[in-house]
Amino acid sequence: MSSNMIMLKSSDGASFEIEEAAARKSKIIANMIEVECVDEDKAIPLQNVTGNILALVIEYCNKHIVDDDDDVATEEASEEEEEAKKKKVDDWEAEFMNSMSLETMFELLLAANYLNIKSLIDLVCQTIANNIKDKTPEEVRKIFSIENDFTPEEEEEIRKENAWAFG
Amino acid sequence: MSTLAASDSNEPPQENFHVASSLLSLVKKLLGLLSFSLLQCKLMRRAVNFINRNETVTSTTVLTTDQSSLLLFSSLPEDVILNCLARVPRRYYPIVSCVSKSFRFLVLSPDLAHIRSLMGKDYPLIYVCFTEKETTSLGMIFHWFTFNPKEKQTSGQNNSIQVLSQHKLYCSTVSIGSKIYFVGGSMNKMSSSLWIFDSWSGELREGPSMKVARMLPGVAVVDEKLYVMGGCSEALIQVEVFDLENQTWKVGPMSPHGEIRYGQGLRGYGVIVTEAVASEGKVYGMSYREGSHRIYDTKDGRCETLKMANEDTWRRGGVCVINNVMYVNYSDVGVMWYDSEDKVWKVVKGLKKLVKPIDISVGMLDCNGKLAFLWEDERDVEGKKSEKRIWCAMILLDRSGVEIYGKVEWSDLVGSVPWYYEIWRCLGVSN
Repeated sequence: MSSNMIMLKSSDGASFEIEEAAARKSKIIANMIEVECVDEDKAIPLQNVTGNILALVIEYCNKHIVDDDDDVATEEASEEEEEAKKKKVDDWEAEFMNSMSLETMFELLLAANYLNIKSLIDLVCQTIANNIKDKTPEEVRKIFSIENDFTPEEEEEIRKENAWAFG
Repeated sequence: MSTLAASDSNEPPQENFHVASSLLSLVKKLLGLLSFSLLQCKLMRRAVNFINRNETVTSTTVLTTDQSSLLLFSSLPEDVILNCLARVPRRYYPIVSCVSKSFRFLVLSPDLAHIRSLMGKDYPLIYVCFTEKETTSLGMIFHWFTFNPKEKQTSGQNNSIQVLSQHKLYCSTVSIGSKIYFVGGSMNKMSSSLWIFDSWSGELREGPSMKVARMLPGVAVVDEKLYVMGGCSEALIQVEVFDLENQTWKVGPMSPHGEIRYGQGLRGYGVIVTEAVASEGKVYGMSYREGSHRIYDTKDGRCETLKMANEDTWRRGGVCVINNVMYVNYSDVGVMWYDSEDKVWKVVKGLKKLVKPIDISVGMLDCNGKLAFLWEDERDVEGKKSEKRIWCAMILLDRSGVEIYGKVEWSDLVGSVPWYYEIWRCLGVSN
């Protein structure tokens, strides 16, 4: 296991120290490490990520790097143990997502997209999708601040088509 | 007459048609993007006047955010929004598409279908059509429900959703991709109409009419074409073919020779094709009477007679084709498959438990190569019938040599409907 530490610098100038193994969750950073031979004394500047969002990204990466190590260490773990571990991660992720506002979620998603951290993108997208299902169009508009840009005639037309969907 | 049929009458040459259609889709896409970015501008302006939406903040670690740089869902990159929408169960798509123009555009875009298939979310959604036991003065009444075979029922929660309870849909149905086609009329009602339901947008539109009015014709799909057969007098066109690509009807080929012609000898109830399925370029049309089941070859229009294993124990709904093998449920022996080479019926081994009495309606369909077997059971609550539970078994089929073995992967309750509903037909609607 690598215990190399690297520095990340947010767009608003905050610096974070992170284990290289955790930082490698981001494909972009992993590339930088490989291609540019990151200088240990110099922070990697991340122009598009603010400090508070970067803190969340790092929290996520740290959590998951620990889990990945566990997987290697207990390769012969029983099925129940595997399941329990998966549940632990799921619970942590649920709690993690639950603790933030939708705006933060969008910013986190944008950061995950920029840093190319696939599992984090998936997690946030799934959480947003869960917020969309089981809602009426009005509720979705309200939650996501989306303007209804249909004319009343268009809306009437669509509602007629979809009359059954509104029960 | 629909506008579609009208535009088809002066069909452009094939090449121009392609250019025109790709241009059209480009323009559509640009328009979509334009309305999308217009929307973004509007929303950004609104964001400046942002009022904290407390109802969505369940925050324990609220982070201080500069209000002027507030991020909105709509201003996320399109691929990220598509990623989110792809994760919404698709039975909600008709609702999602009502949210805004950009949502509607994204829901209907081929990109979303592509992302969903990459995510392995293209498992079909089961559409089940029920009829009411009593026929009213309006004729038969149909009710459509959707069941998701991937979301197994938990804690007795009903995940069936009622869709499409329109009285005009008295007809034979078939699904292709995300669309359901309703063809002709139902009992005692001849009709030449074609209705097309898009399960993503929830849109129901009328397509071009057939040349002949029909009552409960057989409908099956071969090479992206709808084959509609029977349901009309012997003297009329027996087989019509709807080409999905150019949206036109043509007369199906009829062999001038051969033992029999399609429709020949089919009288009275015989003209009704209760069930039709297609396999290896042939359409199997089954009727109510012995000797009136036909195998129609779509290449040359030759027909031959199909013999059922037992005329008295098979029933509409319990017929499907999976990987070019036709399966039929017989209430006495269970699910059988038709060996088209030897022209014999063989029992699917290992499925004893699925034998149901003949008066229990069943539905069978192809679920990505597995057999979804649905059946109903009435629950007696304090001596009163209240609701009918719908069960589904997912069956893995394994062909080894001359036998096919079935193995129940899971079997569970998938939903419930009023007690007086009966399964009429099941369709798998994908993508």
